[in-house]
Amino acid sequence: MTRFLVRRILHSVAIVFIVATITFLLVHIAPGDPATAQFRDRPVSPEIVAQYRRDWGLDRPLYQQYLSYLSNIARGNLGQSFSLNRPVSEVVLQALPNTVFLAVAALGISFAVGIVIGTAQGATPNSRFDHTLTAATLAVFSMPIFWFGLMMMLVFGQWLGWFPVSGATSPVYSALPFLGRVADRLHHLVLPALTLGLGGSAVVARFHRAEIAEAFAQDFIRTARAKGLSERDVVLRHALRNALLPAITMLGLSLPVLFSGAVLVEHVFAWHGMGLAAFDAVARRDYNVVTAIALFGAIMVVIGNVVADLAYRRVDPRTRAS
Amino acid sequence: MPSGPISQANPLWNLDIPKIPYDTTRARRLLAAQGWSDSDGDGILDRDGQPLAFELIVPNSSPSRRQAAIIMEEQLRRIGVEMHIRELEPVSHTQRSQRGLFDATFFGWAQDPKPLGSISGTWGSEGANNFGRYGNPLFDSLLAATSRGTDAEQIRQTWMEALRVIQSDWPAIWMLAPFQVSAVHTRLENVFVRPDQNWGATIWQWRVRPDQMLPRDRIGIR
Repeated sequence: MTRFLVRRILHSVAIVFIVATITFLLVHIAPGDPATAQFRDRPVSPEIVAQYRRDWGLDRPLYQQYLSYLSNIARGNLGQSFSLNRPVSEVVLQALPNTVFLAVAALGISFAVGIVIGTAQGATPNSRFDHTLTAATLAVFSMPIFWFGLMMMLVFGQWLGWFPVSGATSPVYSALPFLGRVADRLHHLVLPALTLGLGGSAVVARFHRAEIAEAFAQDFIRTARAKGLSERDVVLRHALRNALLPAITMLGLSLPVLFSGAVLVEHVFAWHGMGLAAFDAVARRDYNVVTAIALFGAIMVVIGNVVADLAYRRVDPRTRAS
Repeated sequence: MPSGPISQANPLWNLDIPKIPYDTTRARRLLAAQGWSDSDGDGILDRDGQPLAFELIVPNSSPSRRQAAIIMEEQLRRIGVEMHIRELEPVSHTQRSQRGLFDATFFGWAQDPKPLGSISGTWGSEGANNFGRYGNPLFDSLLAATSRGTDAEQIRQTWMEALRVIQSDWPAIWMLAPFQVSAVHTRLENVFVRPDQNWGATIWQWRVRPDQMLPRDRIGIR
């Protein structure tokens, strides 16, 4: 177990290093730099632009910038944001809780809804019910997530007026009592979490349907039925429990998809998380913020995968020997 | 349309300089005089087998410029000129404009409030931000004289002369100098909008009139 853990952690460090390097190179080869973005429509003199580049070390050769970047992140120093003139750690730590909150809620929705739909479909394969849900899940899966978000806003925010369509809290949030703040946060969370979660639930449902259908073909299901168990017990206690194992792997694999989807959903709903911060930082060529967010995203994804692997080993005895 | 490279915020702003009228018949005649005709009947003028076509780069972050570009495309098509619109991410658009990598660029400047302070940078021969590489020594000298002057009327006259010079060269078409219109509810007081800034720059000084407060305005007030 310890060897497995050490190996996985070393792999994770290598992945984070590769992500940090690729992100650094990608943001630096994008057209323009922080100075171009900063003075985009302001006709300032070339001396001011040169001074800006000197002040931020942007005039140094790329390899020097890369080495100081690696040396800084190794010491836990993420640098200063070019556009916000604040420590990057502050920017990231301010955005991180909102993204984690949204991602966890979306993950919960996608697995809860996906497993219920997948189980219902798998238990009644090729029925009209199964075909209808297949069409519905494929329709949701095929929708671009930003468009789905806009439709959610239109129906539940504009027409029905049930939920707020923008931001993570109301303007009066800080003046509310504790329970009022909790309610306010949850109220704002509903639409973005549903948008992100329902898109994912379609994938989980498709995957889980196949797992349940496969479980139904196994001998232990025939045995369970032969014992005289009710169909409800056969599905819930035997088929579902066995079909849930691969879902743990999916949980780990869902994290990168959730983070990439969160960029769009956060932008549509003006949700001040890492996705929105990354979007703004890319537009402003704020190299330090972009690389820090990619780094944090990579760290969260590898941690999610390690946890999923550990959970899988715990629930499936067959994997422990390897 | 502005009469030159200057905004309404500047005291030298005026619309007295005559502008080129929108005249498609004359435009077609001028192009025909230069040898452009629709020899293959495809609706686009051509000369020596070369169609009269160019690309306009536009930042995708500016809805007003994207919409104006579509109107321009349609207007130019009416006289047989094919304009392709290419929308670019804003920083890429700026970089390509700076490097002169365009047939035409739809650029917007936020001028500083200093009289004519930034115009030599954007339209002077030596200007670092003169993306179209316009150069006319007469315009440069008139601009320099305007900057040196102390008599308001003389400055205005010199600037008008500089405007006439740059307009006769037409290095660009100055499309818009938009008015910023802000509507503010009468419940608010101490509202001031700076002409050189976004309307929200002074919002921290705005207050709701005490006798006009709604219950939501009182949240957090002890």
